[in-house]
Amino acid sequence: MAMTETRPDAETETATPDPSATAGLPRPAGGLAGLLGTGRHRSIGRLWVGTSLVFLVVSGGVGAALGAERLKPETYNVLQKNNFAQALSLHGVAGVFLFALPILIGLGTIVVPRQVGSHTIAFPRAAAAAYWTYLIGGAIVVVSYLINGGPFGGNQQGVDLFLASLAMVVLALLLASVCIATTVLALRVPGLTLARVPMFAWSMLVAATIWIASLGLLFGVLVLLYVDHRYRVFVFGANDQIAGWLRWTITQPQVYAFAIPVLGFVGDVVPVFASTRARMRGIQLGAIGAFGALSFGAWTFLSVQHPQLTRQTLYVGVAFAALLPLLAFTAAVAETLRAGRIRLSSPLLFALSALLMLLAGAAAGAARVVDPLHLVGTTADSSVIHYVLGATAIAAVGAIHYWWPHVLTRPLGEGLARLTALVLLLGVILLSLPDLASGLIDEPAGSLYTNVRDGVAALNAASFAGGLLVLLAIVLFVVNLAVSMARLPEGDITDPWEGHTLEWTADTGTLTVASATPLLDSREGST
Amino acid sequence: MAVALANDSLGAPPLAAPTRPRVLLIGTALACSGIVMAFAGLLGLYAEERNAIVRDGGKWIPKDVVIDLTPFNVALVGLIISLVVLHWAVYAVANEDRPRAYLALGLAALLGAAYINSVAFSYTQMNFTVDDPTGVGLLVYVITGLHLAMAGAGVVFIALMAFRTLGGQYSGRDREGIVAALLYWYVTVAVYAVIWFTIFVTK
Repeated sequence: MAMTETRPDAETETATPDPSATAGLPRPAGGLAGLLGTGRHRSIGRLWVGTSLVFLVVSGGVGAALGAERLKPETYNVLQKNNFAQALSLHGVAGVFLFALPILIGLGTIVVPRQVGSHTIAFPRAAAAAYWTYLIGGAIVVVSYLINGGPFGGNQQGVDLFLASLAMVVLALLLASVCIATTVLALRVPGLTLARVPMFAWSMLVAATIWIASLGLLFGVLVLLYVDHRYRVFVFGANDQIAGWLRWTITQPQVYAFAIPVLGFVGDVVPVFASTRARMRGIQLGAIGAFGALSFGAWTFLSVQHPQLTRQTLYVGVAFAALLPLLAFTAAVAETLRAGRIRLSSPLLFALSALLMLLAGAAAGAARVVDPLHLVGTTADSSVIHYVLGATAIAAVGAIHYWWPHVLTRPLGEGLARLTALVLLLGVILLSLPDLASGLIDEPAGSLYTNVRDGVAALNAASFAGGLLVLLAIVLFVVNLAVSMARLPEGDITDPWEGHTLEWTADTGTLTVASATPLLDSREGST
Repeated sequence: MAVALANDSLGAPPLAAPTRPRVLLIGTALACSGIVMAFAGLLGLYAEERNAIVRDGGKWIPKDVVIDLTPFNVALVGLIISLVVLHWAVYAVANEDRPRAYLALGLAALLGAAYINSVAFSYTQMNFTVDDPTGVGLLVYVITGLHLAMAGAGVVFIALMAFRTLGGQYSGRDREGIVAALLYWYVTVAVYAVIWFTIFVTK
């Protein structure tokens, strides 16, 4: 290992401090004070991941209520007519801005600095400030719904509060994205060119760049909506219009941007569990970049004023083009699996499930824009969203299993992990596929229940069952986590999988690398 | 393939010092791209709304609103001068000419504050109301207000870099912070130039 010197500013989280070196210096604060003041990327990342899982429960719980409501689509049973649309918007907002993006940012905050050989994230104080802003903003978003605010809300102050707090959350996500992207661009160890960075770090760079551009625009729109609503002008931001202004963020192509790191996770996991080098690595990196570029959806933000946008050639072309990089990436992954010796461990199951769901989501998205099928505005919209965000959720849970020494310090039970992966896969398929079928028989999206077709109730029941399976998988994951915390001893920051990339090195000094798989090279060189 | 990690603690010559990461500059550039997108979206919406109203034969700028170009032109010229002054600051720091670096940084911050003052004064003269039913007042206040906030943040950024230079953190060898402030200020001026043309010149 190259240990020429240790950076003076490095925040080594694994090394044992030298007592003589710290003599006379104030001891780092512990407990709550330490947590509030921490700038350690692992601690901040864990906070992001933990909090996003709490918000997943909020989004999932509301989703379950919505699913139960759809069991008898002719009448409102669980919810009421005047809060169904509110619940739907909470489900979407919490699912995307309080769960999907934050959990990816959390994983990126934990793993990316280690993958590029840095001991710290860029702008650690800004990264910490981003988390606390997200936490406070996210809590206020939920509170705003509880006081009858949010889109379609009846309490004007509650709607104002929703817009202001969502702007806070978006600002926090922007700031965290800047920290992650800067880490990849500026804090790589010597020799680690952009072509050599691990797939997950590369995908986080692509994703963070797209997020910065699209969330920047969203922040501007939210400020406009807030002022419009706060001063009761209502040119843009009447209660029933707000959801329309936010819809582009959870529709294709923008929704794909929340799944870019899925490809990075798959790209890192597959070679490790195929015990070989990644095949067609350049194509994989290019495919992630191309998928990121095609997922940039800020240009569709005026679709609320121009619904015919979904019929335009550019929109249709992008929907189909997004499939191409995914297919190229899948081909490279398949070639890697074919060339290696497969170890069917839980991270590989999660990775393949996530890739499959992302492919299904992109295929459903391409089908959605085929004009003769008339799928836009039907439940096919939610099918695409559920496929893509389902892929994100599967990859995120899988990433926690794969990078457990960095995320948890304790290993997770392998049997329960495999069961979680399978239940999650089945749940996402059951949640999403029936909605696509409902869309094909013209079942409208949202709270319109005027034209219920034959068979829709059965499809809704299947979708509801899928949602319950997803919640069951989350329960299994939490049980696995609890068992692990209660029974299993703490693990060292070692390499349980024989990883290929820098996050698995125990070396805390200044490193230099000469390939994309330094640890694999090192192992092969020593045998 | 070469072995990627080698143990050079046993006598191998030390590695060359890694190139200094330009963290602040890259972070600033990324943040600026998000800011540019916010303004691009709002100005796009402004143009869209204006076109829709004009296409329907309506009047975009209300009758009682007066847009006198003079203060906005002066503000633009002032911002361009502040850019030149900031370049002077970078040049002075590069040449270890500290007194002139402080002078230039102070002047740049002052010109930024003067811009904020001039736009705030224009608000009292234009008679735009935020609750105009066409949305023009709302859009003008949101866009220019956000730009005021951006300029305010820029002034704070410049002041912070001035204090860091005063503290000896930046010198001829390392002037990354001041270059980052310059980049941010470039974007601030560029965004204002677009606002000036879109809102005040073409009306």
